[in-house]
Amino acid sequence: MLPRAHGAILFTGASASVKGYAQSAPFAMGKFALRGLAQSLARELAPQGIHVDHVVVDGGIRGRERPDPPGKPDSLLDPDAIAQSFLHFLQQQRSAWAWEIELRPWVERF
Amino acid sequence: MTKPVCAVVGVGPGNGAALARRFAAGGYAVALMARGTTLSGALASELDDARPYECDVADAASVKDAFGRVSADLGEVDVLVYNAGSGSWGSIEEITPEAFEAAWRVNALGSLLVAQQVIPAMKRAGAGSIIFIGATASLRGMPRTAAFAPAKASQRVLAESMARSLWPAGIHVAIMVLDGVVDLPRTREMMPDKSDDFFIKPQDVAESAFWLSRQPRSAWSFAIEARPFGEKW
Repeated sequence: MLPRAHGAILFTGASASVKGYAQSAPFAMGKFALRGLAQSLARELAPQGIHVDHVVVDGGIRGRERPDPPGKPDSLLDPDAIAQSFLHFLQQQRSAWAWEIELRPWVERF
Repeated sequence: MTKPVCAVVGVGPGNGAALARRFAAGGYAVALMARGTTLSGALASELDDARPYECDVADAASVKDAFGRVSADLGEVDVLVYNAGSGSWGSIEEITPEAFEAAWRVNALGSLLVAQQVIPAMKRAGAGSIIFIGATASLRGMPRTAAFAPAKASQRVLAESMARSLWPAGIHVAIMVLDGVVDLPRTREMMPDKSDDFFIKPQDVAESAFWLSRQPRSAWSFAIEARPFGEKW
């Protein structure tokens, strides 16, 4: 990426990247570390043309084994919706880059 | 009229014009809201189904009147982009109380007045987007932002409060934090030595705002920065 001065690196974070919850010490320590790495890389690499982003996924993920609970539509993150935002991130022009975005269901407490 | 409606509040030659163009291209009827109608009137005539409205965001009566005309002409607002802002630069020793209050009125009070006009219909619909154009000053007070930073910080925490209260009603509240100098004739003139790469391009801000308005509700974002790749932060 450096010789071409072009590229993108996306890291998938979690609520635990920015909040330490009871019983989540090992997870939060790992995710905080990931966020620190991502922010350092963003500051270091953006001026060289490489777009680094940390995506804070703040909620449960919907899946075949884990559908939305009855009466609570879209209360779990749809993986396709997450992918759409990753794609937007790749399409951002370098005059207006983000380094971090959070993705969270509309009914999630935060 | 069957098109969805986007209100762009604060239409100048930069972000406001780019936002209006992007949402018009995306199929919206666009209300261009600004204190004067010279620029917004000319821009509206270039776009399909766009209209200019005179609106002073610092004045509750003006805001109420303008939004009444928008809903009568175009229908209820589906997407609100609040781009109105004013910068008055000066340190704590330089800034006057009048300048401090004026900055707060345009950035903070105006955000409240305008949002209150569109929320009831969005709540009835169970859907809508409210996007604020914010600034890094909302997070960091610098020596010469004694008026601007408190005003932008106030806007930001208002947006946060709104997000927590309105998301579960289906209204997506978000803020874009612009971290850099927007490319305008005025800023180019002030900084003739800076390269093209130094500036935030309004059309790139508009693209991200449009994307925010399209996010599916299972994965919404609240705050997102827009920063030129070479900017120090």
